Amino acid sequence: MTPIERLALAIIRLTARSADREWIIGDVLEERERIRARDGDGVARRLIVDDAVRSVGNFAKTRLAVMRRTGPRGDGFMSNLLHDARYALRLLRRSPGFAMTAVMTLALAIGANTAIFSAVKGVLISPLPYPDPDRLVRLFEESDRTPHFPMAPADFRDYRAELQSFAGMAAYVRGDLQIGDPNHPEQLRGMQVTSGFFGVLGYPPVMGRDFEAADEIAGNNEVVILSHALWMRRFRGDPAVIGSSIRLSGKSFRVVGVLPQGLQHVGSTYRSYGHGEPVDIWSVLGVPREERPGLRYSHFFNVIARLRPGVTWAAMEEDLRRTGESVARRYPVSPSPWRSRAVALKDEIVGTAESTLVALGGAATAVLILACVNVAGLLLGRGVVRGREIGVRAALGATRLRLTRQLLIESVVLATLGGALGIALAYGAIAALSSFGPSDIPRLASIAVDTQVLVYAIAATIGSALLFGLVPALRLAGTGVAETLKEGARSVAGSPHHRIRRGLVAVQLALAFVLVVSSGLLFRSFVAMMTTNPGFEPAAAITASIELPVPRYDLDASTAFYARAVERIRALPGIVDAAFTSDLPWTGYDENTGFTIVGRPESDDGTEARYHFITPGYLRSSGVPLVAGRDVTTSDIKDAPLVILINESAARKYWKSAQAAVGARVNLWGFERTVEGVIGDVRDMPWHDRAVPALYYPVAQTWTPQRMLLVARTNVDPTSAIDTIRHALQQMDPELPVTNARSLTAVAGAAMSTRRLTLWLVGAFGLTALVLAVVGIYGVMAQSVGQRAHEFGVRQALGATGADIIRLVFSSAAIMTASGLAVGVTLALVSTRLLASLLYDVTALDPLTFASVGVLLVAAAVAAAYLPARRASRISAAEALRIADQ
Amino acid sequence: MESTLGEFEQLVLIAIVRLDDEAYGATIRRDIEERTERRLSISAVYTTLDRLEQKGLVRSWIGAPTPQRGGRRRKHFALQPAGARALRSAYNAFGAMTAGLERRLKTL
Repeated sequence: MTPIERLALAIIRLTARSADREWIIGDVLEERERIRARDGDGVARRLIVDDAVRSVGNFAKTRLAVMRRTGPRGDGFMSNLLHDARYALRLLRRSPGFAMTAVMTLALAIGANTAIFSAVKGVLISPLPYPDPDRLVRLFEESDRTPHFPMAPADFRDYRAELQSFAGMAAYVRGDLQIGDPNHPEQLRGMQVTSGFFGVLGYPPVMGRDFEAADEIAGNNEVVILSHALWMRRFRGDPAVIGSSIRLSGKSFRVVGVLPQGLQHVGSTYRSYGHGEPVDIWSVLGVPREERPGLRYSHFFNVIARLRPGVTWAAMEEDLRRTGESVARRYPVSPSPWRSRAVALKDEIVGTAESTLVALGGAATAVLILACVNVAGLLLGRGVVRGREIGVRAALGATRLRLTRQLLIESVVLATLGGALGIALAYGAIAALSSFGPSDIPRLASIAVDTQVLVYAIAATIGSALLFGLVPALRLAGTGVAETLKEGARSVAGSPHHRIRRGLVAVQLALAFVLVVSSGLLFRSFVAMMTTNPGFEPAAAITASIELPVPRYDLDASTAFYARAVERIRALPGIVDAAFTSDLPWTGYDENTGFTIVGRPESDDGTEARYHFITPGYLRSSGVPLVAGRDVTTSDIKDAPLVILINESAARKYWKSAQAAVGARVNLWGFERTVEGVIGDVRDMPWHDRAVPALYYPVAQTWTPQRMLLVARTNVDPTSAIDTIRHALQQMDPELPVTNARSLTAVAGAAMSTRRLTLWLVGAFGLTALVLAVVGIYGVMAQSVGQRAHEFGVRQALGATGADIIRLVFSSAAIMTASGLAVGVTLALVSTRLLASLLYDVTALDPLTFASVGVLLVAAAVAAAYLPARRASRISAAEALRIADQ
Repeated sequence: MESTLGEFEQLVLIAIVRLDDEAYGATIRRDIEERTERRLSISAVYTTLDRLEQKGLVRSWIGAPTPQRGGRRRKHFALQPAGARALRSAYNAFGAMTAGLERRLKTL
């Protein structure tokens, strides 16, 4: 049963006469089953919701009929409550402007809070979808210079054999495979995993078997396990697939297992699909048995392990430390030794999303508080109108408790209307978030409205009703009989109300200041990111991905293929230039290598760089400038002198300048190469301060079998050229799948999407806060001017000028604004720190932002106070005395 | 005193007659909904049934729980003699008033 149906059923149960409850619920359930069998889930759900609405209607009708017969006091607590609620609704209907404002304010705030809560819960709080998820840990290696690295294969082998704390340990690395079907070539999203991987997750295959130790031995490892989805899609769910052979990427593989439905990929940010992203096929990741230095230097194993039952975190860390030291002693690695480090899987996955969601949650909470403060102000304002009525009621014998209750119920009615509308808004917002939200926030796709989210929304509603209703209720109900009747029509709400309202407005200003400063900081960061030169030109370029299958393409064949493909694509209409590269900017690519500089002693702090592979023309097609020396050309082939390009960061770091680097010799992977050119820096992510040193191999001189990305520069709308490019590549090799074809602008946009969304949301919250605060100031000032008309009249009669009156009004607004700002600045100094990790090129305490938001708020306050002040100054003495006496 | 029946009370009593042994909340509502093409709230049906029972026009008994009702029991209803008399007199009154007007009433 969906949460909605459960809610509907609860409403039906609540509104049913208790004696009939059992049969009514039974009948509803029976009818639902019948309709579901006949017309499906959707119709049945609509029916039960419809039932709930009708039973509320029926309930109201019958109870009101009872009340009409017995009188409001006739039927105890419940009917009193209903009477009050009905009375509250009637009052609201009489002042639709107030009702609309209050309900919409609450609806927006509760809706926003509920939506953000469901995201926080889905992403941060919900347990991971594995049995005993808290015992899953990710293992990394780190050295003094490199934190948080994947493991080296030989280290993994030794750790797996020697660590005592884990029930199982496995490694995984991305490894796509292709179905080379000429009619329908398909690039399968693949992972390579070591034996026991699925056992560690607690998701063994539903058919066949997991990978075993014997599969890891080279020569034995042509076996694959299919995802449930692929099994259904390509093999129509045929169980006979187990044991059969299939051709993938030009090799023959035996299918040994099929995974259960619903298994979610563990994910990693390095050489892997992200958490929960679909994976089609799983092949074996070989674990080397021999010992070679490379197997200790090259770190690329993502490792997951499951803690043995009963082993504590501290004991495991001690085990890691001891084993790590022992491995480091036996196989010393220069310049600094590696240690191993454990991170809870949940922390690793949630990672950076946490700061975004905490920021959004904070902003949404602030807006809810603000909305409550605002409604409290509105209620107090109405107290002026209501005071007399309440005074009369008290005089007629209503107790203070009774009056408080009545006023509180009015708040509950307001909050309920706002809450109901807010939940409806939250539904829309959550649906939008889960389908259009940024893809780099993990688990976002699975968020939904469930029971907990509904409970949260209802709690927020009730909480806000108490928050905004309690103070005005106590205040108004506490006004003494004599007091109200004596004061008569003049200034019923008197000064105590007024002090509270001014306090509330100051709170609003403070919260608005925090939110507007936060959005200001995010805005400045975003602008800085957008205006900093990205180092490449995303506009007017397209990209697509291909992976040449190894058995059919060796170095010569793939060099020839890339050259031919570039030639063909360049000849297409609208294409200016084209080239291939191992990776695109801003996509999280993270492959690194050490190297040595010929003629220099091996330094202790190591020479290290990110490495990329490119074909000639990459600089022109991606828009990266050449800074010194020359670009790679079609003559830089296998038998020609070995060359390399480096970026400016590498040149500055290792040779002091670009010019000095050109011509230098480096030793890379056992071969000497000449630095022929220095190219512009491209940062890893747009919000990174600087680029890391990088090397660019001409792919024709260093072939490794891997996915390559086409980058083509166009002089037409890039998306229009995607199909012709795909077609051209497919004609060259019909068995080759072409995937991920999109514009480079889309790639760059995806990198910014979380930050863009955060900015929009916090900005919207900030704007809401600002508007609420301004409305609050205006309301208080207008009301106070109205109440003080008499006083102003007397002052004018005694010789005060219009300017004096304006000064008087402004000074009272100034006190309110100043105290609000003082609190706001203090709050902001503390809370903007939460944003620090989302900021770029601006500090959390940026004086410019703080100052301009302060000026903005003061200006808004002046504007809000201006109209009431002018009105006050124009009241003539005679008029004022007459108004006040009416 | 013989009570006069409201329109909805008549519909409910007729449904009970038609459904016979199978007359309980869900079936009574379904019968009326399908024949008159109006949507009813289940609680409104029970409000009326409770009233009819108070007036002594119907009697009720509790059936056995069933799984498709989430283990809940049914409350069955049957006509009492007084109910049968009231329905008959309402039907007769309706028949007497409409006699000879059937064609005209249909084309109204």
